[in-house]
Amino acid sequence: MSTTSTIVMPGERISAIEELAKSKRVILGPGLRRQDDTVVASKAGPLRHKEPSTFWVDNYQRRYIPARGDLVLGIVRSKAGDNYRVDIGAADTASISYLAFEAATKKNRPDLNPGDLIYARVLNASADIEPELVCVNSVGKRGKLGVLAEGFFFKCTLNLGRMLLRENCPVLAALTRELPYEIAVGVNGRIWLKAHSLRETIALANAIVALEQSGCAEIDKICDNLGDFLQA
Amino acid sequence: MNLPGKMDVGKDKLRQMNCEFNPLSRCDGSVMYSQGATVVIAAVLGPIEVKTQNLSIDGSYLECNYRPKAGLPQVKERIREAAIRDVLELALLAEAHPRSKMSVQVQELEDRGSIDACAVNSACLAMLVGGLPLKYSFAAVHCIINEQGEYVLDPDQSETLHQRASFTFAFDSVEGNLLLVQTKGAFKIAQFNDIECLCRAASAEIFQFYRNQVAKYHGRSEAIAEKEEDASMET
Amino acid sequence: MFMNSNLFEPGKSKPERNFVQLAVKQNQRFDGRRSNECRDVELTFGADWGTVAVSLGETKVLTHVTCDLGAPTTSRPNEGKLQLNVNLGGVAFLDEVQSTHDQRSLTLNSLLERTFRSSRCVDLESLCVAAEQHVWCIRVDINVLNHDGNLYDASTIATLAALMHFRRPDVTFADDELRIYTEKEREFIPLLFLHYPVSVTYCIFKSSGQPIVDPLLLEENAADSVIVLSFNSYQELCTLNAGGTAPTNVRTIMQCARNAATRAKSLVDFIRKALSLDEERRLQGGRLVQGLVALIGENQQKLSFRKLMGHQKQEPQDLQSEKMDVDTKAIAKPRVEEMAVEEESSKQETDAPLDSSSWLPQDEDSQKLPTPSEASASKAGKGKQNRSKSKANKKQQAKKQNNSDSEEEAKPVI
Repeated sequence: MSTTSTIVMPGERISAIEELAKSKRVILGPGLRRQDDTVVASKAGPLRHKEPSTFWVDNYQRRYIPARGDLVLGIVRSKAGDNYRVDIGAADTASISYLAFEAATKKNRPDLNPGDLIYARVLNASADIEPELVCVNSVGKRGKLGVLAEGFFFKCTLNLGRMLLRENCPVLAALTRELPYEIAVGVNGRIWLKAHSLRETIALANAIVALEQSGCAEIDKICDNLGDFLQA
Repeated sequence: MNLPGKMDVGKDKLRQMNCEFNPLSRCDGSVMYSQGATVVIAAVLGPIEVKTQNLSIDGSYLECNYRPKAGLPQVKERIREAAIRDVLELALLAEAHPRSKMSVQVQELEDRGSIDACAVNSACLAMLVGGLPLKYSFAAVHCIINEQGEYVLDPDQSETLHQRASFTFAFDSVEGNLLLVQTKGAFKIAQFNDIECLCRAASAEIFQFYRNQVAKYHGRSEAIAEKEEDASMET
Repeated sequence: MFMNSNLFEPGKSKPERNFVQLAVKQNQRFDGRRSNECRDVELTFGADWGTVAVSLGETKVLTHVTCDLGAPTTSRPNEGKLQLNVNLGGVAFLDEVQSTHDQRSLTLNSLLERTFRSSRCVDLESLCVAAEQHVWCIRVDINVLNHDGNLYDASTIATLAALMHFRRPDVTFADDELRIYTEKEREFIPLLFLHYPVSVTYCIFKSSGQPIVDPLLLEENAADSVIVLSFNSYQELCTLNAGGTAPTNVRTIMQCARNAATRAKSLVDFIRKALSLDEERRLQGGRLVQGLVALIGENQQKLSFRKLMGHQKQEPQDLQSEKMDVDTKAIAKPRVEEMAVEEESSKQETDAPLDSSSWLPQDEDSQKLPTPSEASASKAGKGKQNRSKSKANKKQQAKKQNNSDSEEEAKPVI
């Protein structure tokens, strides 16, 4: 990711991308759109660039826009025929078929009730149709997906969720050094946590929320605080 | 610290602007915005589920509410609400999120003049913070002609008592088109043109303010300041 | 049940509920507070009289008081009117399901009505200009800006502070002609109060006997029942609202009531102190009165409870009384006694924090408690002639205050 980024405002033409687009394919991420032959920003924030040719506008958005392949945390709202309606914090409720769980058959339905929390992957997403979720991978195994029982669950910004899900994210590794825990992070800005004791869970949740204010850089400090808190 | 009055600011200058992003926890984007002593708070939510009667398959539905500090919204507030909605509708990139609703709420906290312009500006900032797709950002400026026939840009409430005419203009950031014109009172067309120019110049200042605030919010205030310094040295 | 996807409220999903229940059982709270610890309160006064913004943690409420001349009701021809309006919509973006919304605003409205109107905290007779013709109608608009639990306390604090801050214009009525003076002609007049009530909220969970004070939205939504108690600065109960499904025993409620009375008193003291600071600033000149602009960013104009009241709990008790003495010079004499009472009770509280063995008021001190405050109140000359009226009222509402109450009723008469 390039470090020198400029702030763009909605409606701004970004000629750098236009130049690049003449020679090769360019991928426009969120916050950028094509208008005839020009590239125009639609959100405000720093313009980010990832080699070779992906561009997007960074933004502290809180509302989730579903995209295929995303991992999300959803709350079951109701049963509707062969589907469950799941709230994932997007404009529409998502649906998940009762067959989209491991080892589920017509006879053997998963036992989900309104209010339950599930970790799922977005199978289908488009602005015009409601998103569809699955709790299995392509070979029918559940992996890390499925119903989450117990634990604590809270909301954060989308940025934080994405940051935690990044492959080489230092945060979770640093926190693991402090204490063991289970975590499920949804890119829809929801996090589920479970540690050995309730006190640890609360401490962890607070540490993660604190990250939102301070950013990754202060992770060491937060870990120290966490250690102090747990000893106290 | 900022001063509420307009005593120390020239008649052709805007009062000091100030804002805080996301003071509220339950919405997608919110901003507390002040211009002089006028303070408003704006919050956006979107895209969210829309009621069937408002559903549109080729664009999002925009809901806009303005709430006064005291009492229920009356005709005056409804007019203000409509003005904000008109500007927002022009600027919002509705086709990006079909079958959804964008909700914008503006709450007046303190009205000390130019509340119309403040409400529009705060709505714009809230949209920027909430990450709602916009075609362009926009800024509104209020100006009056006072008893002596002078133009007073962004007046304080104390200055509006004996005004001859008042104007509110909103401009877009890309082409500088007029998005909103509200006038009250009697004036000559030449004066109208003068004031339009005055407000247009002032809107540039507001756009710069937006940019600085967004940059600050993303933790890059120093870089911007440096750049500005460079720019000013060049000119 | 959690039903609206767009307005996600914490505490409405199953895992959250279970977690909160567990947490309460283990005496843990999400923000690290103890079960009897409150969040910080911040007051910001607007440039106009009667505009106050209150923040209680992340819960934010804006209250604005306006007044109007109008005709009195036929049943009470010589009394002004007090109208309370709660506005939950707007920027707060609460759960949009109509039933939840209605229920919330109803409970909040009824709480405020009972706390401020039924308890007759404002002297309405002083708002009469001409009997059967002209009275002042005081209207309080409570705008909820952000809800993070405990809207009740935030609204009552905001309402009380706004009413105390409010000034109305002077008016004369002669020869069938009303004349309202502007602020320049005659100084504005503050409202007269008979007593100063504020509420304290507790949440009770089935999983534990321990009530928690000042709940977060997460805790409030997950709670089995919510108890709201309004006390005035004389530690008299004005409102008791105990709803929900958790079976609560008398002991718990009494324990809550005791702590709430102390808390309410210190809150009223805090509001008084904040008001006097605000007045000082206004006297010093226009520059210092920023109005609500002060809400933006960190600021001197925000008056926080912790800062103004010091670290009451930690500070040595005698040091505190010294400080109070200085701060409340004007009405120091009668108040010191009150203060002493408060310290006594707060000491008890810190000594034996909330374990249910020591909750029950010992017979002797439950008598001791109200009496000196009663005495000091009459000495302070507050509430003058209408004192008896408010007492009659109190009698109806304060039945919960157990039998020692009746003794206390009797005493001043003798």
